[in-house]
This record gives sequence, structure tokens and C-alpha cells, in this order.
Amino acid sequence: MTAPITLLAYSVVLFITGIELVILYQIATNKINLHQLIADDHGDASLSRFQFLLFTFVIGAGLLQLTLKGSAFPTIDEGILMLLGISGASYAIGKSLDRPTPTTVTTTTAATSDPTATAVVSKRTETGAAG
Amino acid sequence: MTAALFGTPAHVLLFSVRAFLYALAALVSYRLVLGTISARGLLRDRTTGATSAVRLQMLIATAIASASYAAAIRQQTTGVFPPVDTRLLALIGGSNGLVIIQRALNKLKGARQV
Repeated sequence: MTAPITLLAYSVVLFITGIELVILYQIATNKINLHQLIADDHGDASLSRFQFLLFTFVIGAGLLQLTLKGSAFPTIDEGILMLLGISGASYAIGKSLDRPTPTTVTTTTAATSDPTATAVVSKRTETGAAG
Repeated sequence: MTAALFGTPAHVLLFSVRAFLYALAALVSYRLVLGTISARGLLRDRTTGATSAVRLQMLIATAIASASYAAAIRQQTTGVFPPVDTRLLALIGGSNGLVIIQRALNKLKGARQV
């Protein structure tokens, strides 16, 4: 590698390492707040998010290790995509189940002024089952 | 001369990113243990408020799947991802499916009570 290219390459390495250090420092000093990292919309910890976090770390670390072992970027196995797909899909389905469903409740009440008349009152109530 | 001292830029970069990832994983684990990252309600059933066995099995299945695949990567001698065992996929698919079914049933139950 010629000297200017080597210098440029090391500058890029220095730049990326600098960004990594800044991110780690900001997390350590709580400037980047991770309190809600695995929390859902209600503030409770989500298992799907936790699972996704764990898989991301395992696959990320594996990718780096295999890149160091081999000379080329490792090919991603179909099974890994399926594993991440299952995890992501269950998160998406869980989110859709969390969404409140509008249900129509129909109540019939007798009008006080006219005993023969009835008024149908439709109320839209929102019920949500969080998971 | 620089390359002889520190390795090639690509190797230095890979080492740096790996160190970053491990440090990040350590920080997240430490914060999870301390409670700075909220793990409140991780195993709790949202409807009943009690500890859910279905959620516990999903947590265990996730831990088993992660550990076994990390071990498979460590044993790999070539720079290729090891194939994911179909039993591992079935384990994750099944445990996630169970949690979704439970949530759907809870939602149906909740809708009927209105």
C-alpha cells in the first residue's frame, strides 16, 4: 500500500474508533440514555426486544470473528435470516396485538318522554389488551 | 513500518469494532443487572400481572439458542457462518408462537368481558 493510501486508511480507522469511544463515553455518563432500551410503549420490558438485542450481539460478534478468520466477508446463512425473521415477526405481531381494538357496544334505553320510543345509543369503547 | 507495528488498517479496524461491541455488550449487561436499563415486567403477564410460565420459557429458549449458536461460531475454523440447526429454529419459532398465542387469547378474553 502506498504511503498516502495507508495514511488515509489509518485516518478512517482513527475516525471510526473515535466515534466508538464517544458513544461508549456518552453511554457510560448517561448522556445516551438506555433506560428504555428493551421497554415497550407501556414502559414494561419486552421479551421480543430483549431477544432481538441478544441475537444482534451474537450475530454481530460472530460476523467480526468470522471476518477475522477468513479473508472475505462471510456469507450470511439462510438460518440466521430465518432466526432474525422469526424474532422480528413475533415482535411485529405482538405490537399489532397491543393496539387497542375499537369495539361497538349497542345499548337500548327507553325514552322517558315517550314510553314507546327507544333510543339506540352506540358507544365506541376502546379496549386494549397489552401483552 | 506502521503496518508491521499495528497490523494492516483492516485488522486494526476489525479489532477496534470488536472491542466496541464487547464493551457495549458489557455495558448493557451491567446496566441490566443494576436496573438502570429497565427489565421491569419482563416475565409478567400483562393481563393477570403474575409471572408467566410462557414468557419464562421464551426467555430460556432465547438464552439456549443464543448460547448454542455463539458456541457454534466459536468452533468454526473457516470464515463462514455455521448453519443454524433446524431444531434451534423450531425451538425459537415454537416459543415465540406460544407467547403470541397466549397474548392473542388474553386479548380475546379481554374483548369478551367488555
